[in-house]
Amino acid sequence: MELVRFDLPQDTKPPSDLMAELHESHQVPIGCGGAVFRWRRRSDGFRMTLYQHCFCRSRLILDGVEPPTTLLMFSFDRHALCFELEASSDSLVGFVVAAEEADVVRPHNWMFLEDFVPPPTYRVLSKPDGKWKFTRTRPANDDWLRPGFDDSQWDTLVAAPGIELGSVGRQHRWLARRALELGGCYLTTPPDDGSHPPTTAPPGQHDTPFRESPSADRSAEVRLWVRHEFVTGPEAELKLP
Amino acid sequence: MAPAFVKGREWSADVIARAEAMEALGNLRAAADLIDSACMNEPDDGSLARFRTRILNRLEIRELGLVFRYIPRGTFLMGSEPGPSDEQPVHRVTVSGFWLTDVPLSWSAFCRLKGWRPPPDSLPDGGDEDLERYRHQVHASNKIRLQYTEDETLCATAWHLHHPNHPFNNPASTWKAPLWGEALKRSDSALTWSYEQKPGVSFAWLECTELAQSLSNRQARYRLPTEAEWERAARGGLPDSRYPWGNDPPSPVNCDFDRFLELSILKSRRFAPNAYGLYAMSGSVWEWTSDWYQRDYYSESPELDPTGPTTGVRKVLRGGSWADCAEAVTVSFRMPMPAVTLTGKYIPATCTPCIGFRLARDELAHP
Repeated sequence: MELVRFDLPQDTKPPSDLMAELHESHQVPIGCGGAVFRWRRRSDGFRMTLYQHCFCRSRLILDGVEPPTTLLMFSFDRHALCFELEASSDSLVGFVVAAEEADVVRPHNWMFLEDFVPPPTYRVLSKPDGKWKFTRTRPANDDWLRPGFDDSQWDTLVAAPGIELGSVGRQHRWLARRALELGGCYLTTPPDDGSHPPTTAPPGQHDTPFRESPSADRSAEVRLWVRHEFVTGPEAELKLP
Repeated sequence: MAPAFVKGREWSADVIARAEAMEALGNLRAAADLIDSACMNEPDDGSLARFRTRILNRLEIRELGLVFRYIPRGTFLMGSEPGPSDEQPVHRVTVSGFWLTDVPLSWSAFCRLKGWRPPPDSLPDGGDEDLERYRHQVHASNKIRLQYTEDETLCATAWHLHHPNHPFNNPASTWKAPLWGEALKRSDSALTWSYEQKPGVSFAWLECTELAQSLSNRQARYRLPTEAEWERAARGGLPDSRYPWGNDPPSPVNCDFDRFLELSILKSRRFAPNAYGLYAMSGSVWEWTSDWYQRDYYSESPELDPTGPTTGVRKVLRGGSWADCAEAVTVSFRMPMPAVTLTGKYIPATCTPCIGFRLARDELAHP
C-alpha cells in the first residue's frame, strides 16, 4: 500500500521509514492552539481522528480499550469499534461517527508539516449498511469488545430520521458537523411499528460521556451495546476510491 | 600508517600525564580536549574516562542559575549512514570547545532569566512590549506549560486549561476562571506546585535567540548551539554511536521517548547523563539549534565549526521528544521547523510540549 507521495523542496525532511504526525487540541489534552507532534514508524499502522456525537450517554471502546485521546491508532488488522449507550428512551439513541485518517493538517497553523504528511486515505463511517450491530442484552463478558466476536444474532442499526445540527448542543456541534461532512450518518434503533419518532435532543442535553459504570444510572431505560467491525489494510473495504 | 603510540595502558598513562601537566599549569580546557580525544580513541579505557569526568567537572560553570558543562574541542563523524538521507554523507567535523547547559531550560529558569513573574503567572510585570508582540504565543504556551512542565504532574488531562491569573487573550478581559479546567493528576497533590525539574516547552526559535542575546555580556556570550555542536555534545565522545549511551536502542530505563499516549514529560535529570554530563540529549524535548535546515547541507558543510546554510526558512531541531519513536531520538536525526515570526495573528507552530532549548556559552574573557 502506498500511503505517501513525496515531492519535497530542500527545506523539508526527506522521505524515510518514519512519518510525522500532528495531534491538535481537539485530539489531545493541550488547549486550543497547541499540538503534539511525533515521529513514528509507518509500519506501525496509521491513525485516525475520531469525530462523534451521541444524543445519549456513551462510552467508546476500541479493540477492548477506551482510547485516552480522539486519535485512534490502527495496526493493519481487524478492529472492533464499540459503544455502550444509555438513554431514557429510544428516541434519544442517535449517534454519528466518522473516523478519518488523521494526517490532515490545517494550513493556517501548520504549514511546515503540509509538505510531508500524506493525504487522507481511510475513513470509518457510521452508515445504515448493516455493519453496525447492537443488542439490548448485556453481553456475558467482554469478548464483544474485540474483533472476531460473532454478532450475527445482533440487530442492525438504521439511519436516524430528521436530525438537524441545531438540535446538537453548541459544545459538540462542530464535532457532529465534521462527522456528517465526512459522510457519517446518524444511526438509531429500528422502529418497532414503523412510527419511530425523530431522534432529537431535549434542550441542553449534549453528548455526555459516562463518568461511572453504566449500570449505576438507574434512570436510564434504554441500554444498548453497539459494535462495528472492520478491517484495515491494503485490501480494506473502507479504502476510499 | 603506524599510529603515533601503541595504544594500551602505557599510551593511556602517557596521555594522562600530559593532561595532568596541562592541568597543573591551569590550562584545563587543553587538558580536557586532549583527554577527550584519547577517550574517543579508547572508549573502553576506564582510567581515561575517569580523568575526563574529573576534568570536565572542574570546568563546570554555574551561572544564571544554570549548570554549563564544557564540551571539549574535538573532531567527530557527523551524520549517520543508516539514517535518513539528510544525515548523509557522514563527514568529519571539528568543533571548538564551548559550554552547554546540562539540561533544557525549565519554565522557571526561562521566566527568571526573562525577568518575568515566575510560573504559573509567567508574564512581564507590566507593559512589556514583548507581551504585545507575543500575546498569542505567551497565552497559548502558558496553557501548555501548566500541565506538561509541572514537576509532579503525571499526565496532561485538561483539554483547555487556563491559570486564573492568565487573562484570556485580552489583558482587559475579566474572564479569568479556568476554562474547562480539570484537576491534574499529580504524584502527590500536597506538594507545592513547581516548574523547575522538567524542561520548559513551547518556545519559538526567536524567543530563545533573543533571550540568549539579552544575557550576553563582556565575559560570556550565550546563544543556541549550532547543529554540529549539538551533535558533538549529544554523542558524549562516543564514536559511531546512534545514541548518547552507545548503540543499544533506547528503553524506558535510559530515555524519555515513545510515550505519546502518556501525555507527559519526565524530569530532565531522571536518567543518567552522557559522558559530558549532559542529561536528556536523546528524547525528552526537541531542542533548537541555530542552523537553518537544508536537506543536503552535509555534502557541502565545512569541516571546522560549521554554522549551517546562510539562509533558509526552517531551523533545525535535534534530539527528539517524549512522543517520538526510537529512530527519531538518535544523536543524528534532524527535524526542520519554521523560525516562526511571532507577530502574526495565528499561534505559531511551536506551541507544543515537544520543543525546548539549551543555552550554549562561549567564554569571551576571563573575569
